[in-house]
Amino acid sequence: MNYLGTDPREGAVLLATSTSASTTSFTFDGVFTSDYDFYFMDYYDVDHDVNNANLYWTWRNGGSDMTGSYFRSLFYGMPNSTAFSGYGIASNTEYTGNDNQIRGPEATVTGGGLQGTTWLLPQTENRKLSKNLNQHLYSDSGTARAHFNVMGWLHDTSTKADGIRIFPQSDNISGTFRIYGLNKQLNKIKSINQSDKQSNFVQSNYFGNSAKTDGQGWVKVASTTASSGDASIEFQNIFTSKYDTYKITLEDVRPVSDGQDLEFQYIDNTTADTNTYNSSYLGQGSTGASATTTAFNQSQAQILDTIGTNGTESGFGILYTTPMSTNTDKWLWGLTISENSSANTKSQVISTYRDSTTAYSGIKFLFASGNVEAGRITIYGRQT
Amino acid sequence: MSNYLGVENKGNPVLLAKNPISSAVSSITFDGIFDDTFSEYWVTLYDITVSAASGIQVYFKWRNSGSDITGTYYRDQIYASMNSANSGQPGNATYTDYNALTDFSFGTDATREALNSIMYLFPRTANMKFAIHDNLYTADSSNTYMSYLFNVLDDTTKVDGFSIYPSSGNIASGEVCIYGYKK
Repeated sequence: MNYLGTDPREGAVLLATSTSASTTSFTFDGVFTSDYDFYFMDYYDVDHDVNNANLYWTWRNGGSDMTGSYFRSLFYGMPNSTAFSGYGIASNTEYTGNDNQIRGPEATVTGGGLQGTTWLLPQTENRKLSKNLNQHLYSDSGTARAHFNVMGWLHDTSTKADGIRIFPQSDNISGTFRIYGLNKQLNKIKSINQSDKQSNFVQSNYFGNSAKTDGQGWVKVASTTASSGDASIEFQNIFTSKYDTYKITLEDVRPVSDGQDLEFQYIDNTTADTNTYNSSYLGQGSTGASATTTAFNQSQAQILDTIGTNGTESGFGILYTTPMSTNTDKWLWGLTISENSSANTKSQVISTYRDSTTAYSGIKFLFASGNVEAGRITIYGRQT
Repeated sequence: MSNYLGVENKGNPVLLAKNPISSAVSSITFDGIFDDTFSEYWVTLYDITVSAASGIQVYFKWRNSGSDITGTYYRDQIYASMNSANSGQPGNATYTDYNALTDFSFGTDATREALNSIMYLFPRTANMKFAIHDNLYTADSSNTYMSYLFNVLDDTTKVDGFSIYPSSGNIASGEVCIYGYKK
């Protein structure tokens, strides 16, 4: 450590990145150590050389694959198709054991550009677990269908993994994989020369500048708090090539008019793309409503469902998006929860895409009808 | 590591506190940890184990000014097991004065049984308290589950802490870290 000021051990540390236009596998050895417990693996614009191929991965230790049985479970949705809608939510789940590797996203379509993130627990002496949320194009009898899935992965061994290898069912794959470690070293050094002496991170407007980007993890790029009567919460020219995946946090979002869905539109320069968006979501109720929803083939970019204007009615969410992707589909996905105009809560696992080759520079959030009463939206870029 | 003179790293999330659970405890409580410096917080539960052999659930409750926030906690979730044909999407469950983060019998009966979670919390809202629990855990049956569990408390108090604890006995080991996202 060589610094003047507070130790900036903040954020998630980018430990490894690998990009290839065509390779038989992406292999990261020695990347997992006891320095971290929680790891994240992002994949961006991952593509197979051939159609209808599965993606696999295996833990590694000491430069070798960790063999044995791997298991997974799965639930998923189809944003532009009713294919498989007969499964129903509960049986959208399957579990399978695959010898020596995990079977990840299946039957991907060339040019589909798989996007997503996985959190990993490679250094535990308990079961090796990971959880993945991804989006891609799926080959349904030769027809490309947008597809999102949540997968849980299990490998039952006490051996710690120090690496991972991702590989296709056949031929080669392209794209980018990045691995991040979530900092667990608590910095007990208090800041100097800043007003808040209790913070263990360095405040803005500090003296000097950082030449390094280690540990940035998610970098805040914009935040807006709505005023009552705003037509939308809009961010123009916020997405750039500096980042490829963005995190969007919604807080206390509420409409002026009762019972409105919150939706979004991408922005190209200053113009919102008002064309059709497709989505799928898995919804559940908490207070007052136990109904579940399996929504496939939706031509609406719904993020929050029928938010009300009374009492504590509002909506929250953690979303991710890849607006600058060079592939056709621009994805936005994540988790939301809100209280609707009937004072019932609804949680959703959502996935939405816009079928366009445009690299979008902005995004706006708006209600299906009427203005915004309140809400704060913050956007972070993933360190690359 | 960084080599610089000043300025924030602009990094998120920021690690604010941790409990490495160096010995068995009946509960893990953080008071005064949430304030308006941040509004979105993440809490990680890593390799949480309990002392009892079986029959345990792990509970969560909000706290403020050193006291529990009581009332009806609501819950819905979507879950699936990786190594058994168990899955579901139950909603509208209620608990009095706490919420349950795990289902099924949890304890030490199974080999390598543990709870791991990333909790996404919004404790400083003056609206309804929402928390999203992104879980991976192994139960006594040796079945391992993934779940998204949505935790709801209809209380407008801006809370400053939380507690997690087993339905009986102690938390034996693991680690809890709390992070804030700059707003």
